[in-house]
Amino acid sequence: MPTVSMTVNGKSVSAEVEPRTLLVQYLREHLGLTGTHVGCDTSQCGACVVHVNGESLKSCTMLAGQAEGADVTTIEGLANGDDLHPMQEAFRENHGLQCGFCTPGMVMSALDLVKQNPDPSEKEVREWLEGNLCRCTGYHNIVKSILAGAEALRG
Amino acid sequence: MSETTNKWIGQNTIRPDGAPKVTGSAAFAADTNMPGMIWGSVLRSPHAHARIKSIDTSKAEAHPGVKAVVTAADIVDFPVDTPFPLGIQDMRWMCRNVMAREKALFHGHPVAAVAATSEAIAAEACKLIEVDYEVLPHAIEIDDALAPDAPILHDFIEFEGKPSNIAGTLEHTKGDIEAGFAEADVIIERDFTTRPVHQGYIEPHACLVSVAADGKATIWSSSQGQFMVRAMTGLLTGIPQSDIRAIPAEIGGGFGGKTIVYLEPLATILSKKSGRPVKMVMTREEVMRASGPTSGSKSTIKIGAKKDGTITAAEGIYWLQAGGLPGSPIRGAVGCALAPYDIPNGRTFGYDVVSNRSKVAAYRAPGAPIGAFGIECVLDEIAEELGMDPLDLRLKNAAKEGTQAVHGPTYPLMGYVESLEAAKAHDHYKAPLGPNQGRGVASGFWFNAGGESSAQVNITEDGNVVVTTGHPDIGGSRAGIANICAELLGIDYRRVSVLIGDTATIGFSNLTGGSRVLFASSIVVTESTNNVIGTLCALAAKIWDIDPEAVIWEDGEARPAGANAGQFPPLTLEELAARANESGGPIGAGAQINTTGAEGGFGTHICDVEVDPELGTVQVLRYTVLQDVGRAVHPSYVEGQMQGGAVQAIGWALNEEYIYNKNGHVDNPGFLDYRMPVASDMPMIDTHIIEIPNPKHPQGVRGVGEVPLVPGLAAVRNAIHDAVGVRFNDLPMSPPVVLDALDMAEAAE
Amino acid sequence: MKPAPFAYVRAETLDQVFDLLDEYGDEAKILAGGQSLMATLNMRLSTPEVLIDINHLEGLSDISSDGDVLRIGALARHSDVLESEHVQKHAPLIAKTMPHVAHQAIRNRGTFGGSVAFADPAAELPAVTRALGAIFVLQGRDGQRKVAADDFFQGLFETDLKENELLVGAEIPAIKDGERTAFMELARRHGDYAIVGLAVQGRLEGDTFADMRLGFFGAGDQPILAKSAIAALNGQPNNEGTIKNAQDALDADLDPMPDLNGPAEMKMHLARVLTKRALAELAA
Repeated sequence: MPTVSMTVNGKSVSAEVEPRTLLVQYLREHLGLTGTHVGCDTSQCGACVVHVNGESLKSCTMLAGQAEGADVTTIEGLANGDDLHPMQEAFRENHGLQCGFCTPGMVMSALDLVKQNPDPSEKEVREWLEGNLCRCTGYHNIVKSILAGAEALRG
Repeated sequence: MSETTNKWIGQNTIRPDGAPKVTGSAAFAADTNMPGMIWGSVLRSPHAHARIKSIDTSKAEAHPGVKAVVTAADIVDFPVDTPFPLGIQDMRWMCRNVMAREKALFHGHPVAAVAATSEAIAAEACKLIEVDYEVLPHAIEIDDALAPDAPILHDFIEFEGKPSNIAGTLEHTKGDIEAGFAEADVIIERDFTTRPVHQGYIEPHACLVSVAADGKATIWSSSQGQFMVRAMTGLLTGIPQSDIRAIPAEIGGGFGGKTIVYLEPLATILSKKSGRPVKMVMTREEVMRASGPTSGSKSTIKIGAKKDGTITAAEGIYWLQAGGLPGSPIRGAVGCALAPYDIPNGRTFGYDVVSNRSKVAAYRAPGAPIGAFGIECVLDEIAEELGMDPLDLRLKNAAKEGTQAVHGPTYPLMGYVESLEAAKAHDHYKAPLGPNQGRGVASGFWFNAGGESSAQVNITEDGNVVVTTGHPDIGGSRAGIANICAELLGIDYRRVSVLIGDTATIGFSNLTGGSRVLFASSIVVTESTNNVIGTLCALAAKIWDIDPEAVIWEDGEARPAGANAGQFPPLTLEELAARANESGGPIGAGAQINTTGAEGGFGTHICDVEVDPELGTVQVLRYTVLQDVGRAVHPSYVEGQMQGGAVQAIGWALNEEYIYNKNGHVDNPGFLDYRMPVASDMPMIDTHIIEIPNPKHPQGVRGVGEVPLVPGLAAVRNAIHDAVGVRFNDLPMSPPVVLDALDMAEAAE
Repeated sequence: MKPAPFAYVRAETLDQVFDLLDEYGDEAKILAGGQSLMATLNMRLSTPEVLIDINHLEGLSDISSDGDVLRIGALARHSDVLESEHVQKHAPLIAKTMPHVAHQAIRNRGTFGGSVAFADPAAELPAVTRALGAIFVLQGRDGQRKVAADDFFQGLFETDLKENELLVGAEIPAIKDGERTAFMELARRHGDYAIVGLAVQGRLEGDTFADMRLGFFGAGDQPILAKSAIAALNGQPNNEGTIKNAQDALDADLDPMPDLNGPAEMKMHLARVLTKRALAELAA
């Protein structure tokens, strides 16, 4: 089996995996980074969104081998020790979650949004989230959280 | 919201599991692994209806890497002629649902399962199992199942003396229905259908089971009740419950769909046979094909009223799909349908109809949205016929304290009228509408549940608090429990740590369901905390050498009171905890109660839509949920329930449905073609919390979570009617359906 | 679910790609952005022996323009196309389209060439390339050939690409002074595949339609250039009668397939409505 190496959350990692291994499986099963979730088989739900080389993408649509040498950030890589990332803090404080299963993907998507658009409107947030499903919140508090997180990041 | 002197109850405190969930460290069911773990995979029926003549698993068992195979022969049989209820389920049907026994009853019905050293090998080995099927004709829709020549799913089910797919009925009556209709000035009778919809939790079912050499089983799984998992798995595997430890993982949504087991008994048997821990995770396709949606339905609704709007009689007849095995939520449909109204003559009747679909499971107020849909639609039409405002019509007939409901109970103090009055007074109800825009209202009821709960409240040696309860936290209940315990103890909520115990560490607690968790948990937590406060006061009395009755607990400390007031400096929780040994030892108390007094909940919704008459699309522009919640212990999570429920209702009304092909297979078994709402489909959902404290609860709590799904289907539908003048009586009101109806309306002009 | 086993090769050169294509034939699949392919593999709707990852081939992701022709490399990501100034300036129709292509996490990975080569009849970009009169550059071992979008799409997921060829880029005539654009689509849910949609480019000379091109998606087994409707528009004044004629002409152009979204006749109706609206947008 080929060895796949990449940088995940700032650390160099390496594992022998079958070629068909998806990035999400590499993260969850080989690295034990289970904060990236799997909710569907067809790349709709967005629970598996991570950043690869700074851009959000669905880690179920990419082979681990394709991320060879890449710089990957998962939900586990955002907080600085006990200090939550401002977007994580915004979700926590604004009750932007109920069950919390979609939350990592929501946070990772939100961060890519605010990187490109630091001051998004409610409409822009909603359109950006089209690839992230939540069944608990009706999206209300998620949208609120992202607007608050964006504001916090603007400082 | 009503004013109180509460410090924590009513505050939007930060949830205890907030940080783990935003950092990804929270452990959901698929996140746990064990050394030596192997993978289970399920072989599912390729037929919608087939007799299983034989199963040969020998090739699969001989396949390299395969460690165990399970079929129905390994699962405890519950004979069909002996009812075996467990909560609202019956083990006769559960044992046949987790694994097809005599027959495969739907496409995707489990037939066997394999555990192997990898997921891929387990899946490959499933294909080596040879099943000899006698394929039978299938029935999917209610009318197919009720046709005179319908294939009969179960020869042991008879209705009116003949083999039938009607597995049961339920009726509620009040007064004289015929006399009531005779008094009416206007009578409207309409037929309605609703489609089955899935709960749509984002986390697929998953479990990890390890049966140790001594026969003791440990189950990690995502469910709405670890005690349900223990009981059902015990019954289906023959393992005594005392030998099963069911550990609740964090749950990634349930909405009723995780109140029964699918994988746990299979993984337990596979683990027992193989001697290895077994992990099983469903794909989304498996979730959609083989776990329970809620019922599809048809109904006939007839309501009569006088010219002044007084309802004289109402009748609702409902047929609900059960799936392949009996047990549709007819109780919710026929019980909740007329519940918001004070009706002198009423009758509701429900049929439980089996057909070749996956067995239904609970979905948020099971049956109630189906019951309410037709009623709330016909009321809208009566209001129009009489030239009345639809809220006024409802106010005229609203149930209140003392009303005897058609389904039986006489209501205590409750806030349905207040929800209607708040709706009438709301800005939203008065806001202007543009072309092709319309506004609809509807109301709804859910029973709410009490039942068994346990809690343990322990004071740590450093004077902090650990609360253990027995209900999986699905929407933030730990935050509410922390608020209550902190309030009673008079300490900062951050000093209260709330945990969900497993079946070995906390006493029996019934399901997270029925909108019961905060209601019931707060009763047992209140009793436990008050006992702890009694212990703390007794300890202070001992230290001060005064009568315990002369000690009061205030603001997190014991204070001498009465004749002794001011005599000693107060003793804080920390000080008392440090001196616990002086009173005889650790400070803690538990309570196990079969809670009662969970009175029903009522809500009213206002919905604005805009219809594009050329494209058939419906956009929800504005939505307001008004509901009596008793007491909002944590308002943000109360609002979260109202917002989430409303959006699920909008999805059910506009887009969600199972589509079956002619072979009886689901054609849209995934999030691609099963269209749950996305963020850009929705507006912000306005909420209006009404607090009429439940007099039977220490904090006034009333169940909240399920009511918000109930009115939504009709609120959307009535709004569409207001926009385009067409009454849709069949869901979903998807673009093709709307377009078709508008074309027909145009043609009719 | 995991895909069925396959070999994975990260190609570094075109020759390597052609060697593998020669060796494996139709058992090889080209992996570009993978945003359609990976789901297909995950669902085991496709079980190739080898995946040839072309993401690391040099020079295939550039977007450039010489003023007359806009060149989009096959590996340009949707998100790069969306943000490209060249695209905004020279192909505003593509710029209008891109926000409708799935959603951001998909656009960050999915490629322009992948979408074109996959030839999904319900996808936006193939139809847009027809509306723009794009020319595709197909690379074989022995050289390149150019095929007009009008000849490239040949049926349901079928194109003129040979087994040992690779789509490497598209050449798009830059928009000329006076040319206007419009884009309309209807989806069951934002970000979904369209039920039906169209992309339009053309001119209004005074009040008269000229050089119109209407590319439809979700309207047949392939992206469609609505020739009859175009004939009904060109040289005619922008009025109700002309629009009606163009709508009626769609019967000859489109052949939508019934599916979970509804019957064919409903899609024809929707196509007529969207055509009217797109032409109104064009004229606005």
